[in-house]
Amino acid sequence: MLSYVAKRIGVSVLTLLLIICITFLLMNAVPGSPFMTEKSTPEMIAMAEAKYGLDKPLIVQLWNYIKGYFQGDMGVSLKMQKGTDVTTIIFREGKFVLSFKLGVWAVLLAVIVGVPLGCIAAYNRGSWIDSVLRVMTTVGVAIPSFVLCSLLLIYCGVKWELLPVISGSLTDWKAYIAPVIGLSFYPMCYIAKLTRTSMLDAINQDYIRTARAKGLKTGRIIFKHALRNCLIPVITYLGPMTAGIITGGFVVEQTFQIPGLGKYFISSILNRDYPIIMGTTVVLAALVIMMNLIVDITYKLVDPRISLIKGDS
Amino acid sequence: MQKLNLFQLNADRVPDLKEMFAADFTPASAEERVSATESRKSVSYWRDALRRFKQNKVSMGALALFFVIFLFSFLGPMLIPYNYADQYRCSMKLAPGEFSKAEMTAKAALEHADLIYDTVLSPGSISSLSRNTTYWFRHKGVTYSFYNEKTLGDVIVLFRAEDADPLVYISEKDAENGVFDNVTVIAYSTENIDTRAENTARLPLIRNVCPHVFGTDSAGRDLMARCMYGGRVSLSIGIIAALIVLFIGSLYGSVAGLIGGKVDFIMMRVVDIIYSVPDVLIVLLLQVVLKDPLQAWLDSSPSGFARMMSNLGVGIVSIFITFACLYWVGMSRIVRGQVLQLKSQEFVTAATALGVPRSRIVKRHLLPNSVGQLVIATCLQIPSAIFLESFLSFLGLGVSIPMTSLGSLCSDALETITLYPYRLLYPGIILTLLVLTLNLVGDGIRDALDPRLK
Repeated sequence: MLSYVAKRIGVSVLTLLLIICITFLLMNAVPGSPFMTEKSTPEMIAMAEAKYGLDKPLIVQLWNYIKGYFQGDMGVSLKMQKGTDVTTIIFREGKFVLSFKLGVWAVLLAVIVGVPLGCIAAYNRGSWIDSVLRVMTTVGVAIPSFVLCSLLLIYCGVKWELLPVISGSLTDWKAYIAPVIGLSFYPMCYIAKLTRTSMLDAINQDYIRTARAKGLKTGRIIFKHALRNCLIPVITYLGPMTAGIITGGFVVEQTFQIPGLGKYFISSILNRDYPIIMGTTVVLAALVIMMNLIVDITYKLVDPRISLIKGDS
Repeated sequence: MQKLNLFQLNADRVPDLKEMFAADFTPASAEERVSATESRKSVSYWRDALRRFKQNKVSMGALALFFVIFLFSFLGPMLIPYNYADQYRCSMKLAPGEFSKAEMTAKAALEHADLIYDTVLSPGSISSLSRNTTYWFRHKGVTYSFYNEKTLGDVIVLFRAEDADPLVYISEKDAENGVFDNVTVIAYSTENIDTRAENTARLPLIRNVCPHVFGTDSAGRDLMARCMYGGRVSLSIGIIAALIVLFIGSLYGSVAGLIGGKVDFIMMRVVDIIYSVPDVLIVLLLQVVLKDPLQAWLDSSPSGFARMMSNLGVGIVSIFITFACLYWVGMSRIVRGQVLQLKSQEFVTAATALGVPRSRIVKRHLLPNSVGQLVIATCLQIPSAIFLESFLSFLGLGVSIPMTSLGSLCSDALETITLYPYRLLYPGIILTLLVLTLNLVGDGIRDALDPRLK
């Protein structure tokens, strides 16, 4: 077990390093300098580049970045907020917290609503409840998040005036509702689908029949005996879901005008502010990789049938 | 060791079985003969799958709906007179089904006349023609030509079939009042009726005014034409991207699976790492990074391929490149799994034992047996490619104006969403239906080809 965990951590760190290298090389593949404007002369560009160390060889720059990251130093912003620490921009100005809060709420909603919906659908297999849920989940995984968010915006925000149109910095609990629903609808439907399939598998097993024969109540059978075994696909999905929620965050923050990390990331790409792009990519990638790591370790703990020696399926 | 009496290998004379057991055999009776012959054609794997697919009502319905969207996107633009890029300045910001003032005039005039030119409706209209040239058109066997000496603001050229010299300009006011008496013939010539005058162009006629079914956008572009075109772009991107993924993924996966051993191990670790890279972050970066160099390359390269790509637009080409770079890993895992599974099957062992060359084993055994899996994976790849493209376009990183896709239409609509929500609804609904039907068809194909997976 320990060697497995060590191996997984090793691969994760390697992946993160790879991402840093890819991001760095990609950004440097763009011709021109980030300081290029209509007014600037070559001397000015050279001076600015020297100031931020952009005149050094690529490999030295890359090494400086990697060294910095492991010391918690992400460099300073070149353009968008000149001279400010990237760490400060991402973590202290509330951008990360804002996006993180949204993401956590979305994950919670997706799991807390999605799993019971899947159970209900599986238990009422073939009835109208199952059909309704099936239609909902099928449409739910086909509707792009920006369409859903915009629909929420039009109907809840503009037409019926239930929720604020611009969520802003999420100071009000009402401001959370639309973004969180927009963010969590796809994973919720996906989880409901997953749970339904594996629940159907589980309730046909012998141990469920035994539990039923012993006279246990249906709710207890479903939630205590069957659910435990069908949560494994859901746990496996948590990794991709984190990535999906980050992706969805870009759209949601754009739609509801939330000044979070996703919105900032896109504008930093368009402005070519290297340290911010690097910093944001690394933070988000680290989040996804960490989640994948946790999921991998947990679900091997949860299900002893999964072999630990061969990490290859 | 017991000696085999009958079948001695390498024996000089192979014993004649028929002769040996002649007494034990009797000819089949007529009844037996009937039961032994094939009573109906054997059902092949694909025929069986097709039958299963046809029985699946949901998938068949989805397929029908998909065809409707397909026809809407690919045939639709031929049926409406509007173009995705043309800006009709008099028809800005129209609601669905609404007509602009000029179009209403044209409609009113049409009640009394057979044909019209709307001078303001389209870029190829009379007001945009060069002056002092003779233009002509033919209707019901008669050719009419006219000079375009003077262009007025909101005027319409109209034509009455029963009148002798019917080519006139009328003003918008006249048309609204239904009065056509005080019209002025500006220029009209009956000479050279059969021969086309020099420097003349043929003009398209308008027989009725086409409504803007989905309305128009702030620049006066017809939204339905844009939706059709956007659907075409989204669908093409989905299909081409899925084919790219299929090609690279199956090549990589089958090489890894076939060679096996250390090569396979290293190749699959590469796949593992690419798989755990958060794809969207890299896709966003790639989109931005690729755009400028790609444009420069496309502009400078003289080859036909580059020109074709340049017609597509840099945004779309960079979407293809990102798919080629990142999204093949899932496909390569599936293919490798298939190859590994098939490699250990008895029929492959038998073929190897018989000395069949490896290339023939691949052709005869591995490929046909994994086609089902490849079809399923490719079908389900198409909607996810459409999803990604629309996501990128929504963030403003995909296709660029005037080219459009369903995602960029939604993105454009977001700015004015409080005033014109329908601008987002139409492309949004089409996009959702497209992804939904493709998902359902993909599921249906999976169930039909591989009933065990259900």
